[in-house]
Amino acid sequence: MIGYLARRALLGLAIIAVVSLSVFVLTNVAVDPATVIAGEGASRADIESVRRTYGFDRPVAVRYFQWLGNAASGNLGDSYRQRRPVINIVRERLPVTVGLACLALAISLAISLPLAIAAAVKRNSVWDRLALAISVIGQAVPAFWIALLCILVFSVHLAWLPASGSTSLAHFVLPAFTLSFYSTPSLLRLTRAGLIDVLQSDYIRTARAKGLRPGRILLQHALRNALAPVIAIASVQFGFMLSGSVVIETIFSMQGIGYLAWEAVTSADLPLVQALVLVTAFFYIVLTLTADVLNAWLDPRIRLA
Amino acid sequence: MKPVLKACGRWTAAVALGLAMLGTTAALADKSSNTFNWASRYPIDVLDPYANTSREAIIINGQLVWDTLIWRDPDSGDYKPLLATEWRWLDDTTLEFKLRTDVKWHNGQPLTADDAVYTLNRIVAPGAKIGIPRNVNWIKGAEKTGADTFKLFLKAPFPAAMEYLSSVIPIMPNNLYGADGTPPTVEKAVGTGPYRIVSFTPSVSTEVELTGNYFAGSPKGQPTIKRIVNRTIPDNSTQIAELLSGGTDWIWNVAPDQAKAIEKKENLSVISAETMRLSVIQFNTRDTETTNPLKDKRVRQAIAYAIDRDRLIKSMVGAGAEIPLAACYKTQFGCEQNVKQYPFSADTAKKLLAEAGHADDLTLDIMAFRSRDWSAAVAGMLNRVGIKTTINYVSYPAGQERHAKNQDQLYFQDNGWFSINDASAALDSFFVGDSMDSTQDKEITEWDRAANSTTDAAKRKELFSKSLKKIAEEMYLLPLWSHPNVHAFRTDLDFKPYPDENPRFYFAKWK
Repeated sequence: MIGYLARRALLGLAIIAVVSLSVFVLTNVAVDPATVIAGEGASRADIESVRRTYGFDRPVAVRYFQWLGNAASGNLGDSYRQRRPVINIVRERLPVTVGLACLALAISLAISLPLAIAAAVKRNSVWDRLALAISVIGQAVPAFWIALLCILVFSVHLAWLPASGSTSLAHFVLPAFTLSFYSTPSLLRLTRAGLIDVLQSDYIRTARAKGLRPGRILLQHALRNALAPVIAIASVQFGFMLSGSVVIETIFSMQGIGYLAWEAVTSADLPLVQALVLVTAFFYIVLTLTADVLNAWLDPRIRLA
Repeated sequence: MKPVLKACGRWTAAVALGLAMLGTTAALADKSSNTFNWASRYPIDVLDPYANTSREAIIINGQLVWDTLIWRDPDSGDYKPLLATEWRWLDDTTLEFKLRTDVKWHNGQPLTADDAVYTLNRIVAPGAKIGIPRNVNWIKGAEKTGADTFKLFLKAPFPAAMEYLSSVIPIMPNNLYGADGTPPTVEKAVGTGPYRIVSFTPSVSTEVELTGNYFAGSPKGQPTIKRIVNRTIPDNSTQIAELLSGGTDWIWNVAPDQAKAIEKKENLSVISAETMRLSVIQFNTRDTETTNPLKDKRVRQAIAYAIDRDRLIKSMVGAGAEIPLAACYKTQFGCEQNVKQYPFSADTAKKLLAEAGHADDLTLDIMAFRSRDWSAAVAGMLNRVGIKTTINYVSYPAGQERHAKNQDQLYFQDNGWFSINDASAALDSFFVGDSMDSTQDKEITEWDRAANSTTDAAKRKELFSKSLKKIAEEMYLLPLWSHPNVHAFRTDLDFKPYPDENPRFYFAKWK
């Protein structure tokens, strides 16, 4: 187990290094950061002045290795726009995104798991149809539309919830509900399909023959095995949510890392972009590893060695 | 059915109660507490206005908290004393200022020449990382000559100096950044303006409060709104939702089609006001790898005749927009209005194209970084006179790069020149002879340089006039329309917009 974790940690470091290098090169080559920082209407002389001031006149490779050296010693640099350490900015914004992701995943699981169980147990019933409808709508309707609709109904017409901001729990309700719309369909369909498959297997038939109660068969024997792929998908989706939903955070003006990433990319705040990429890559690696360990715990047939 | 409805009602009430218990702390618009909330798309990143790039930080908040040396009256255009009581040109590159002696910083310290000298020397120091370099890069430095007098040195004659000094050069307190260059905190970022900062969350919100002891005789007057709170809301639809639900009192840059819906609300007012920002088409007349049809003046003029600007303003751009007569905004000093005009005439356009040998074989590339719908409409009009077009919609930096590398043909763009009310701001953006000058007309570049090198107003007007007449005659740059800015706000707010896109909130008051 320890060897497995060590190998995965090394692999994670390699992934982070590759991702950071790719992003560094892409952000420096795709657009001229000096032009972006100098702002609209800047003259060529202004742009060249910015290039020298920020050191963009040095080769990309030199700048990357300098950044890497600083990052290795814990210094991710200062934001070009906010003029303060990027790590402080990320630390301030992260709780909003983590809170939003947790709430969205909780809503998603609260909707998808019971509905998937009902749909699998009572196939072709009204529950099954409802699950299908939610899956189709969730996948077909764009998140921004749901977001605007929610704002229109719950903020403008009913005045129950605030339209934007992230300063109270009430501010998280609409964004979390909207974000959950993205992950619910896949969790719902995967759980339903997995359960239907498991419920038809021999050991479930044996359990029934032994006279075990249907609830126990469903929750203790069938669901446990059906959940393995669900956990894998949920962890990926949680990673997506933790990396920040640019659209949701922008529409609801939430000060999370998704909106921060959008701001950083559009303003060529390269140290901030790099820091966010590192954080996001770290989340994905940790979550994937957690999903593997959880799956092994749920299904002893899976070995980590 | 009744029990179902009853149950639904109970659930709705429960949900509403639950939501209320979540503790909504949205800053609801509240005239009774004399708090004014305004929302805008672009953030205030840093307290120091010089370190920002947004109008919200440099101009709006910058002028609430800090003061400039002089102040331009937005109605008359006259320069009036603000922090400086007197100023005079000692020569073409030296200005001498005398400061007021009755002005105090928000921390009670008196304003002195040290503050002004520190500010002006700091913003031109190497590595100062000024958000908009062009706002300050004409300054060489400053020197104290007395307790309340100092000299400002320019790198070269710069006649638009008063424009910049009256808008984007606020005076900051001495040693604002300290010896180690640490950016100022809320406590340290004191100003001389009518409002002091009480809270600041970078890129999120800024709250300022009336000091109550703003110096008498300021042309900004004595504001009456006690608190002004700014929030960054990037999405326009969300801004409107906040306005409709009472979360904010004032927004701007509202899309004309959405403005109509807001207008129907009794408690909200909508004003579509013309701004200094112009949409223009810059023609690339440089030599290119293949034959460049835009080198032929008749082709450029044909394009100008082919675009029905009146119709586009009525159908798309919206109320408040006007067709500019010249390649600058009408109130900018030296913006000659008596230049050749190109009223819409498809027949003239076709005739000119035929004369140029491009009756039906011309294909041009339109590059745009904003206003996708407007550039598409222009392309449609060119199509009607036989010019085929492809639209390249790119990001602003990518557009600038392609333009500098001589890789574009028609560059659809807009510019507000940071509200600088001098024609040099407009001409310097297009005709200085650098890689962004797609005309490379040495005569215009020389006239522009000469106009920027003398403080003789009459001479400058003459030089700008010659440049603008030639630009129109040769059709190097086609001014399409001035942008309207749609402001939406509470009806009980007494607010007046200005063309320079500077909503002077210190003039606003509750009705």
